[in-house]
Amino acid sequence: MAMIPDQDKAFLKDKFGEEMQAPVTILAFTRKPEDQDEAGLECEFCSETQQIVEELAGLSDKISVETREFSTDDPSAKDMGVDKLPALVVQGPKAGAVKYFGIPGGFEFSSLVEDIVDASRGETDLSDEAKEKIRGIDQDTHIQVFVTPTCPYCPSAVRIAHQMAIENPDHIRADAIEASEFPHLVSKYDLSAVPTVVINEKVQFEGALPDSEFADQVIEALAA
Amino acid sequence: MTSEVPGGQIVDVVIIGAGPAGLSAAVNAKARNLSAVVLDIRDPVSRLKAYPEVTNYLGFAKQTGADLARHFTQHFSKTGYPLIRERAQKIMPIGDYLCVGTDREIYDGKAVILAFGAARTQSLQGEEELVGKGVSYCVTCDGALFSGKDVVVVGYISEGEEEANALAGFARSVTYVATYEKVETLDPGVKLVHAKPISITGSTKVTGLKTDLGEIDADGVFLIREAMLVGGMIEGLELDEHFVRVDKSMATSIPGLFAAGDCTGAPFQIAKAVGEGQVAALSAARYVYKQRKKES
Repeated sequence: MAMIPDQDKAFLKDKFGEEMQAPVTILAFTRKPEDQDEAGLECEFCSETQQIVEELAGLSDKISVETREFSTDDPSAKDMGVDKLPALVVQGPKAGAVKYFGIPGGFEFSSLVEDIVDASRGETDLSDEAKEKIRGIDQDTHIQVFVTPTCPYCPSAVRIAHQMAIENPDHIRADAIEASEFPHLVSKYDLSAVPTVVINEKVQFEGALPDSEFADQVIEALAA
Repeated sequence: MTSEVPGGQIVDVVIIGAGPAGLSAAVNAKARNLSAVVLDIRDPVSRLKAYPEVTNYLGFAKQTGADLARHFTQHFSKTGYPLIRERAQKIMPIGDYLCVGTDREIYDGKAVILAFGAARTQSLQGEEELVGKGVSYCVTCDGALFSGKDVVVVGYISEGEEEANALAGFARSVTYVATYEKVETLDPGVKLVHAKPISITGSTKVTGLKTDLGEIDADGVFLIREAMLVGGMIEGLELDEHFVRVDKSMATSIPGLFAAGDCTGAPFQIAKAVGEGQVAALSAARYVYKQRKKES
């Protein structure tokens, strides 16, 4: 069964055709169901995630999918900060710093679509004010946005975090994490609301903020 | 504009609340040829329907609330605007428009009119401090984070029952604290308590809910009210006490955001709400026209 409904496919085909520039590669780190017991790693939504990105790739010749069978000693996974499954890394002409952990379903699907376009263009529609703040960051910054697929405010936080990573790929990496698939992280960060934004391992704020205030939060977290 | 609102499209005005102020705003927005949606989780003019008698609305010397309500909804239905049965939770300015999030969807409007009535309930003691630390207003969003935990749902309206039922799927225990009489659709797995909530306990994390009948231990407290407390809905909105501060054009402190009716304060009268709804719609129309000019 298709994950993306036909009427959405037609819309997306046009959208990608009109808005994409450079090609985008989606690296999909997954694990086959039969390998899961042995490795002790569960991946509830690996096959659905894989299917979503393959269907997306079918809508534009500028989108390609590279599937990697995940293993903990894979250096490419380590380099990219992939430590849980399923993981998607969206790579445009600039280095890939935009990631999803867990299925990009529900409201998060729209984030993925917009991320693909941004990565392809290498530019974002963040406000000039936010861009200026973000480009000034010169420390390693890891932004984790915890979401659920049923949360309507979450995509806005994911989008801003990912756009920040696209604007400053040398210093910022940004992950969208589907909270209900990673209960150990829910307890690690003691999460009780989405979206929650964790910056360099510290819970920074909860809720959706306009981009310039989000940027202030990042700067504040780095100064702390 | 027909009654269909395709996803992702920006309408001219999102009207929050289908009481006398909201419906009046809708009728007047239509007269200015704006596109609009109206959001309300309850039936339109539900509170008015309960009044046995209305004697001070011009043109109707003596009417039952139900009759007046029927006239209002019939008039509104001529606009063709969709009435969407969802509860607005958050409003965020994004660029030149405002984004309204419900517990299910996002609606983008060039302007937004707040017309959700007076907040009938004030925040509970401890509530504001513990938002995001176990206090939540959105089961669809945050429910999954409480899997295996004990939660309380405080239902100020019957819609809370459905939310409690949804939580019962993954929480260890769900207690439903109903502040109203008739609870009809609660699952047997949810414990029902009729009580008056007093405060939410906990310093850095929610530990429970105190009621007039004693304390209930919980890791999370979900509050399901008729309308969100306005202070939590939008950052930077100026208030007078618990009411939205407006100027004569019904503009709030946020550009593009207007308010009308009981949410702007007393007198809590139908005629006042209807009048303010009209002013808010006309001001919103002026604002939208200006935005359009800027774009072209």
